[in-house]
Amino acid sequence: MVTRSGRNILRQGDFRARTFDSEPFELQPSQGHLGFRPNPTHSFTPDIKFAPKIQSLRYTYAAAKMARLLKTSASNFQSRLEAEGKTMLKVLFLLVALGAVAGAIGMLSSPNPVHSALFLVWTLFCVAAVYLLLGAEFLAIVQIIVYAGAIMVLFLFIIMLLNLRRDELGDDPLPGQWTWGLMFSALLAVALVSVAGAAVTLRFSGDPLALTPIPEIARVMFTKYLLAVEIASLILLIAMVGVVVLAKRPKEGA
Amino acid sequence: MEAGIPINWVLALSAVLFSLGALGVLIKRNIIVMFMSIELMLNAANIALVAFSKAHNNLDGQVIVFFTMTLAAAEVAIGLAIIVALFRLRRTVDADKATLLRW
Repeated sequence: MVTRSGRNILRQGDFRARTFDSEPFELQPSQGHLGFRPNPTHSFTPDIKFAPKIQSLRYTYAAAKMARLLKTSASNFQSRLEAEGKTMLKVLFLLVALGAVAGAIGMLSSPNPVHSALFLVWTLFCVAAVYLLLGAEFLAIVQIIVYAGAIMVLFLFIIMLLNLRRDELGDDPLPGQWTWGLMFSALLAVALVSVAGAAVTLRFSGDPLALTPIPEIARVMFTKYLLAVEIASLILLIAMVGVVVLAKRPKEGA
Repeated sequence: MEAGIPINWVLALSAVLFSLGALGVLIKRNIIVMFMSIELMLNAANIALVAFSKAHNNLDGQVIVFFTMTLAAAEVAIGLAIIVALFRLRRTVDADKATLLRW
């Protein structure tokens, strides 16, 4: 049955009105009459001795009607699901964005660098969720593995390796540092957000719920950007060698 | 047909995160937290890249984000090694006390 709001709802009353009698009924297992379909416009007075059979006929009719309704409403339901999914995407995005900004503010406001690092881990997870909401699920996974997993662990490792005392933190700001810093970044935020809000005429096209196929990413990465992949591998190698050289303890007397 | 998330929201999030990262670099003196703020700015730029990639229906942006992450990993390794070396030399992570190359 189609209500005014366009929803397909299967109500018990429908069958009651279209069939014959008064009592609301429970759906019961059929007793082997599934092939039999009664005429819904046909009315007759129920007899008590036919009650079990009538029950099963009701169920048969209900099942047939339900199947028909499900079939006709499948596309309708699909579109409604998509519409609700889009609203849900927006709500989720707002939540995740709020979480990311809150984590960033927490990172800046906490005096303890370990707390800062943990706040940043939270922000990075929120960024991964943003990637997921934008359909870039490969990047979301890489974000969690590489950023939250590897880079932030490296940060925490170094913080704990250095084991800073409070006077070594260097956390007392220079005169005017907060004022100028806040002014500059507020200006930057206003400029960037106004650009994002006004000047961009782009729209997301296509299905907002679609994910990026990973083989496509691989195809682009290893054809168009093959040289860049090689250079990135070289950079990683050089970074590794450089870290070993930098972190090596200088020889005695050298 | 109504699209999902408006791209303006994503770009605004990117802008806000970038500004917060810039704020962190400006107001902090602990070199490790400044470094974390740089990571935050990189992430903000990555969000914008993914958003543009989706808007143009083009995978180049996502691939570039992947390279950015690679570079960030290398950068963090080198940077933290430099911080450790600085700490060995000066017993501090205060950016204002690393004055060896200052005129």
